[in-house]
Amino acid sequence: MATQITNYQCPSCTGPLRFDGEAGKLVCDYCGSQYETVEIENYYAKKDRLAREAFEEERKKPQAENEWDMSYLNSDWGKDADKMKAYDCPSCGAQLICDETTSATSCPYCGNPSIVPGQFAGAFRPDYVIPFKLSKDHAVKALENYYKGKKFLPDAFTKNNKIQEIQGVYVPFWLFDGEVDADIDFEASSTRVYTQGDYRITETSYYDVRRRGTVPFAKIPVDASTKMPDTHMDAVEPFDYTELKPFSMAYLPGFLAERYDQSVQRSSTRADQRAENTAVDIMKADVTGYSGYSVQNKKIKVNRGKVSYALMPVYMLNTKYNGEDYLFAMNGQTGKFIGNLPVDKGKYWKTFFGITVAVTAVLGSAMMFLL
Amino acid sequence: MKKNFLVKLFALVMVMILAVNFAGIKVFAINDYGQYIFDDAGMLTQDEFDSLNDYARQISEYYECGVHILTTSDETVDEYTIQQYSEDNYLRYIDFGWGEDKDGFMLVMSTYDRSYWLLAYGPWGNYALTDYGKDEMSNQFLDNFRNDDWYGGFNDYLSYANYVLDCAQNGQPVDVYYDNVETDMGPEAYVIAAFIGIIAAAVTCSAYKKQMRTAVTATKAEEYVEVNEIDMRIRKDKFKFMNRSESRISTDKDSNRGGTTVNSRGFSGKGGKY
Repeated sequence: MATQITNYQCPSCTGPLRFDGEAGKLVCDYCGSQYETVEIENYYAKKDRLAREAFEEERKKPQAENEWDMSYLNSDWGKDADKMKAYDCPSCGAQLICDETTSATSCPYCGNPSIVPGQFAGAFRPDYVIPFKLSKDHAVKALENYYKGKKFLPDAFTKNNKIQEIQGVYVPFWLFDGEVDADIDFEASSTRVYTQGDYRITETSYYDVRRRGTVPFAKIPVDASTKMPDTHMDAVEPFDYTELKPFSMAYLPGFLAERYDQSVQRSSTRADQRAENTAVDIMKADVTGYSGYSVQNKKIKVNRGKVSYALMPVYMLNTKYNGEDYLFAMNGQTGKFIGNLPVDKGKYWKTFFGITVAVTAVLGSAMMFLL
Repeated sequence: MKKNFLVKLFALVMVMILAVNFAGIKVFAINDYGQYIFDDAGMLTQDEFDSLNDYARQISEYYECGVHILTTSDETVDEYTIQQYSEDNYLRYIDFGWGEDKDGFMLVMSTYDRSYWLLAYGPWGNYALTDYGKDEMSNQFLDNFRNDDWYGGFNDYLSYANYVLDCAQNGQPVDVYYDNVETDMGPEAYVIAAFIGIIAAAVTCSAYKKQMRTAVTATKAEEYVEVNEIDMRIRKDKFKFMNRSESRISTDKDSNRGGTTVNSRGFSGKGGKY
C-alpha cells in the first residue's frame, strides 16, 4: 500500500513526491522522476547547510574595496534571542522565525502544514521593520477584487478555488544604499523642416552630447529569500519608507518572519542592475531639445554603500488549480496585490475571434458604404 | 408703277435675304437645327445616325454642352495630324460646341489609319471631361471600334459623356480621386478591415492577458533615487555638422494627376489607334 508523503518537493520540477511502496522510492507523478529516500534527505540537508553557510560567509567576509558596507549588520539579538522561536519547512526549506507567543501551523510559501520546530541561531538581527497595517480580511477582499475584470480567468478557478492559507509574513529584504556614477556620450540630432518656394528643406544638425553625474540611491530593496519568487517581491513594491521603524520584537506577535538565506553579494547584483538602469534613464532624460539621440559610449560605476536588513510585511496566499501552485502576495502596508493567474484558452480565442469578426464586419461595411 | 413695283420687290427680297441670314446666324449660334454627328466617312446607317444624333442632342441640350462625333476618310488625317484636324474643325465650324464658350466634347474618327482623337473645349467642357475621364471614356468605346462595331462604340461614347456630365453637374467630375474611391473599395475593404481586426484583437487580448500576470521583475529603481542630491557634473553639447536635403513639394496635380490638362488653344484631349 502506497503512503502519501507531501513534505518533499521534486528537485527537478518541484511537484510533490509520493512514496511508492512497491518501488521503495519517492516518485514524482508530474515528471516521472524517482529518488531514493536517502537521496532526498541528503538534498534537503544540503539545502539547509548552504543557507547556514551563506550566513557565515556574510559574517566572516572581509570588507573589500567597493564592496557593500555590512558593518552595520549585527547578529546580536541580546535578550530577544530567548523570546524567539524557529521553524523549518521540510518541503520547501524555508526557515521561519517568530516570537514565543506565535505558533506556525503551515509554511506560508508552499502551504505545507507539517513545518517542524528548528533552532533559532545564526541570523542577523534586522535593522528595520515596516509593521503590518492591513489585516487578513483586507487580503481576502483584495483577492476577490483581484479576480474582478479578469476576462480570461477560468470560471472553475474562482468557483472551486479555495485559498488554502493566508499568512502574514515578514519577508527579509536587504536595503542597499549607494550611488551610481554615470558618464555617457550621446550623438543627438535635431531636425528643422521649412519650405522655400516649391521645395521642402530638411536640415538635420548633429551634436556630440555628454552627460556625467552621480545619482544617489537609498534603500533599494532586494528580497533576501530564495523561497520567495523575486518577481512577487519586486511587484509588491514600493513600501512607504516613512513608516520604516527600528526593529523591535513588539511588531512580531501574530506573524511569521522568514530568516534570510540569500547572501548580500548574490542579492546585490539585482540592486546594482536596477540602480544602473535608472541612472542611465536619468542621464538620457537630461538630453533635451533634440529630436533624437543614440548612446555612443557608456561608463557606469556603482559606488556601493551601506546595507541594511529589514523585514517587510507581506501577506502570502496560496492555492492550487489543475495541480499547479498559484502564489499571491499583498503588500501588508500599502495593500498592493499581485500574482499570476491561469488563462482560459477557450475564453482567449473566443475573445480574439469575436473582436476580429466584429471589427471586420463593422469597419469593412463602413468602408464599403461610406467611402 | 412698274418702277415702283420693282423697287418694292427688290426691297422685299433684300428684307427676306437679311431675315434669312439673320435667322441663320441665330440658328447656328445655338445649334438649334440639331445636328451633332457628322459622319463624313459613312460609318453609320441612316437609322443608326438618327438614333445617335437624337441621343447626342438630348445630352447636349440637357447639360448645355455639345457632344459631337465627326468621322472622316480624308487620307491626310492620320495619327499625327488628327489632333490639329480636330481642333481646327471644332473652332472653324459654328456647329460645334454650346453657347458663347463653345463648351463641348468631340470624338473624331479617321478611317484612313484607324486613329481617333477625343477632345474637350470650353470651361464647362474641360471641367467635366478630365484627363482621367478621357482615359475612362476611351476604354468604353475602343473595344467596340476594334471589332468594327461603330454604332456600339459611339453609343458607349455618348453614354459615358452623359455620365461624366452628370457627375460634373453634381460637383464631382469623374477624376482620379472620386473614381478610385468609388470603384476600388470593393471586397478589399473587408480584407483591410480583417487585418485591422486581427491587430485590434491581438492588442486587446494582450492587454487582458497582461492583467493576469502582475508578478513581474523590477528593472528600475526610480522610487529610491535621492532626487535632490543628483549631481550633474558635466553637461556638454557640441555641434558637429549639418545635413541639408531638398525635396520638391508635390502639388495635387503631381500627386494624383487629377484635373484636366488644357493646351494653349483651350483644348484638352487624347487620342490613339483603334
